Amino acid sequence: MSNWTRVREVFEEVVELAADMRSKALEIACADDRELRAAVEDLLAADAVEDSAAIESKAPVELIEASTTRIKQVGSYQIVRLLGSGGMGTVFEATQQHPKRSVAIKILRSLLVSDNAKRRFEYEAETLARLQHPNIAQIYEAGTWQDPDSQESCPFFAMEYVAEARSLDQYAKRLALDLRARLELFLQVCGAVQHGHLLGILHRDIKPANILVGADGRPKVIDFGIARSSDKQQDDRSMQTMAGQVMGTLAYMSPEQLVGSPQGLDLRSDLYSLGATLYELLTGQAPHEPSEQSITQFIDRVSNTSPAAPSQVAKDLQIPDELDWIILKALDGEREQRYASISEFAADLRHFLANEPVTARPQSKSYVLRKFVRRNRTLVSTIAASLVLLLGTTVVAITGWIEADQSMQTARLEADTQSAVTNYMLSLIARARAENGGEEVLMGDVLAQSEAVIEELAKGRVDVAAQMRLATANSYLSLRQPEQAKPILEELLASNSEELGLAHPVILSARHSLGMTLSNEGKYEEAIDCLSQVLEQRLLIDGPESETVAETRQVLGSTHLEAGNLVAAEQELRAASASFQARLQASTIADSPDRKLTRQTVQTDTALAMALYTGGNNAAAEAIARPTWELSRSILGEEDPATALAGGVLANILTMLGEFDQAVEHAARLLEFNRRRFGEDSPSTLASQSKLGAVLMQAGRTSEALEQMRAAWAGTLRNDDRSMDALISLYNLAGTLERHGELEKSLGYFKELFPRCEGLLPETHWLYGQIRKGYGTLLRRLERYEEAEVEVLAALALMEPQLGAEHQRIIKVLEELVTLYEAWDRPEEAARYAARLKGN
Amino acid sequence: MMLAMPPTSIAATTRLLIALSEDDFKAGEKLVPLIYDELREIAGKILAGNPRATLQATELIHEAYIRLVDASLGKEGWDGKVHFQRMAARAMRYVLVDRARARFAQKRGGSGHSVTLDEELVGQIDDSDRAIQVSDGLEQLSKVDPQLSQLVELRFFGGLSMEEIADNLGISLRSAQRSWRLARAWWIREFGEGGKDE
Repeated sequence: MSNWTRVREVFEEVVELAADMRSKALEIACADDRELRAAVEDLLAADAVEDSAAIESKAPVELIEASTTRIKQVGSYQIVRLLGSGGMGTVFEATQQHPKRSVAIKILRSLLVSDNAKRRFEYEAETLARLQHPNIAQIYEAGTWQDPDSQESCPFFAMEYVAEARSLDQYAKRLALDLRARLELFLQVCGAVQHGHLLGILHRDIKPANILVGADGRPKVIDFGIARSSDKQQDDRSMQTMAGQVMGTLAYMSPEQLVGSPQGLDLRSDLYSLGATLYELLTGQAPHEPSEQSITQFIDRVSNTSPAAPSQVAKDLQIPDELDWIILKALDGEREQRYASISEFAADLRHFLANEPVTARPQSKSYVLRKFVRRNRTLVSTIAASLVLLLGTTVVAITGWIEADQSMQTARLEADTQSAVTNYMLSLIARARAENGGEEVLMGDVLAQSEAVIEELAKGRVDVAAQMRLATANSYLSLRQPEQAKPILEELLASNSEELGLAHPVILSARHSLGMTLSNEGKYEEAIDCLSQVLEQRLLIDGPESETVAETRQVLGSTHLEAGNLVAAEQELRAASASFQARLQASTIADSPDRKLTRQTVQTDTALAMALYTGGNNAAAEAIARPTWELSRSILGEEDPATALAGGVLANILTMLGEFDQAVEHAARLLEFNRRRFGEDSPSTLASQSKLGAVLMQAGRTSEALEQMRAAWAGTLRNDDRSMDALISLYNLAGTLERHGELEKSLGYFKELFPRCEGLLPETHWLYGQIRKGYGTLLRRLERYEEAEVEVLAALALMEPQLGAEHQRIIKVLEELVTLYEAWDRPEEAARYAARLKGN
Repeated sequence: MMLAMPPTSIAATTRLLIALSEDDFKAGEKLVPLIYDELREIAGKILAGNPRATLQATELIHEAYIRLVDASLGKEGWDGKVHFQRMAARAMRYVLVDRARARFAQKRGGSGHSVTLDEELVGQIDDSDRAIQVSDGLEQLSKVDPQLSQLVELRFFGGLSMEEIADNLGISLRSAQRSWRLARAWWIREFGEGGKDE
């Protein structure tokens, strides 16, 4: 090595220069001394190494023998190495044998002393294992591990191991992400937290260090809900002695969490922590740094003062005022002043990204106007264009609708009107709360205890017990856990049908709910069977004008629509619609309609418009869809799923009518809505993204269309989605590529498409015909005429009886046949189908 | 966590500190054992109250300073704190290294048979080993560049922030940061990345 002093001088001279300046400076400083240059360059290369653990951290002064350091095996997991240890416990990397994979093992420090504590932990673990989201590190298993020395039982979690992980802020810093990229990354995190909230689980310890970004650039929230499962068991050590440990987390805690508010935490506490995380992601520091203060002073400051506006603190990013408002609103000391939910917060961030007005502060008129103009400058550049191929978006919209319908109710309970059931639900909550030391109660806790409470309250009355079980099942449905609801419903029907009779209202309601879960699972025949029987009974018992009949007709009609039975769908939905409309008018007093009835009306009419549109009756469809959307928007509001879906259907219809600008706007609105509501990667979001692509395609904006469709398909693959949505997304992509002239690629996707139809799309469904027609068109363009003819003729034979000879889609099929025979140089056949076209 | 001060050692420590001058580094070494004992005693007391607590070097050193040094005895321009920090970082290093060695010895003795190197690598990459590794590395670094070695010692074992380190070494924050990057780069080049960040 050359003279160290010189090496040091040169290194310190150049190390802070930008890369391009560096080599120049090195050249000058080293001149001909190649050895010197090599030594400096060696060190510079080492300097570029990120995240080395060489000497970065400070020596942890753990003066006690940590028993965890000798662990080789935890449960069935082989410990590989220690990843770190913190206030809550110790984390290891480990390997699992079956399936063979790397996992992270977290052993919590708290002890499970009592059996009660153990049971509670197991229950929590089960709840947490249900959290499945692309942006949440999955918990595979939880168990207890016995320290071989002390014989103490410690809880542990086996979790998804995020390889090459960096914390959120480190990742953003390392890639020098710009503002938009950081916000987009952060929005994925919001989606994950929101997913937990929908299942009734709070995270409780959101901070940058708990959000890891792996090699694939996807953020993963870790330790979801784990703070809770452990803090019950923690001994009462004072905060002061923990100071060194806790400090890291304090900076992101809401005031109510810091003081241990008697009202407990709610989702707005997580919201605060998300706000603090975003603050740090953008500014490089936490909103309130707990340095050099006593904890009480710190709490006082957090509760009573606003942090400095991010724009004042950020060094590298330009932060506009609106973003300041959004973040400060999330960080308000009073939780009532914060956003009411993560989705509202995320929605405002999306508004900001889209140059739309944000809600985060009373806005002056000029502000709204300014935003509006800026946004429309880009929207106005829309170009209208040509024809064909409106893809099978029917199923997309309806599947999305059912999903939205179920999540419409939040994870919190909505009081049921029937008093017995209300009492039942209330006592469930009371019990859960009592066991919880008066803290807030999660829906999952409540439902898990239902059986004990039912026995107590029903006092042997079968009908009351059945009604309570039905309420439990319906609550699971509203939590989007149909797999929990279904066995309860089946058990209820199996054991009570005989005693109560098939015509008992509870039995009928349970079968109605069961029909919904079947429809959701895609078991249309079973669903239609079940729902038709319920309808028949209700017509007899409740009468044709009853609300229950209208509700069943609505679900039955929607199921028919999905199954492709358009005539039956239209018939049921028309009847339901008339009934709801009449009720709505009767109930409207002083221009304020009943919201529940409005929602039912809107959903029914949306499905009806969809049925008409699918049947080719676009004008009639529009006549229903447009006023429905307007009604929904004015009564239920822009953010209601019913409004979003009505807008989505309207997008389809407008596309058919050639009103592309409006169609694109509606489709984009639906996509944004789904993003806010379900997150970037949820099946609904991806389906609506594919749909936006289809509308753009029709509008002639091919490259934009392809962009959306490719993104949608990539997400669908990531989710390993095998649903109808996935099928349509793939078909859209394949068809658009054909149109775009990328024939080989299109062929590849079509080949993937057919196997995916198996078991999902009956070969008699008109949509299957549509896919074959699309494939036929591609084959024709590849000049494989014989094969093309087989496909297109099969499509015609399949679709014509279902859609009718005059349907737009049939006309397209006939046109395709004419084109095919002309290209094939078979003028006779071409003339024959051309004549049929004229005849139409 | 204010503990009773032993009056005799305060005077002694303070005198020793006052006697120190920049080039009289050797005299400073006399302080180390004193601080060493103090650190262990403080840690012991805290841990007796809460066996599962994790201690921070800065807290310990600060406490030791309060207990050992009567700052009022200093004269104007007196930088007893600078010397104290350096000695304390050194003392902390010895405490941790001794402790880690003791642990090793215990494990070897306790298991009844000698452990192969591989087993050690798999099961025991823990933080106490790092104390030994870093201490040994510092030994080598001090031969190449004593100032860098001092910096790393202050940071790693003394738990000082970069600002405090700059103050202590009498250099600007900026050049302290540059030196830190150099030390780190040297370390990585010499010993590899040494695993991952926590």
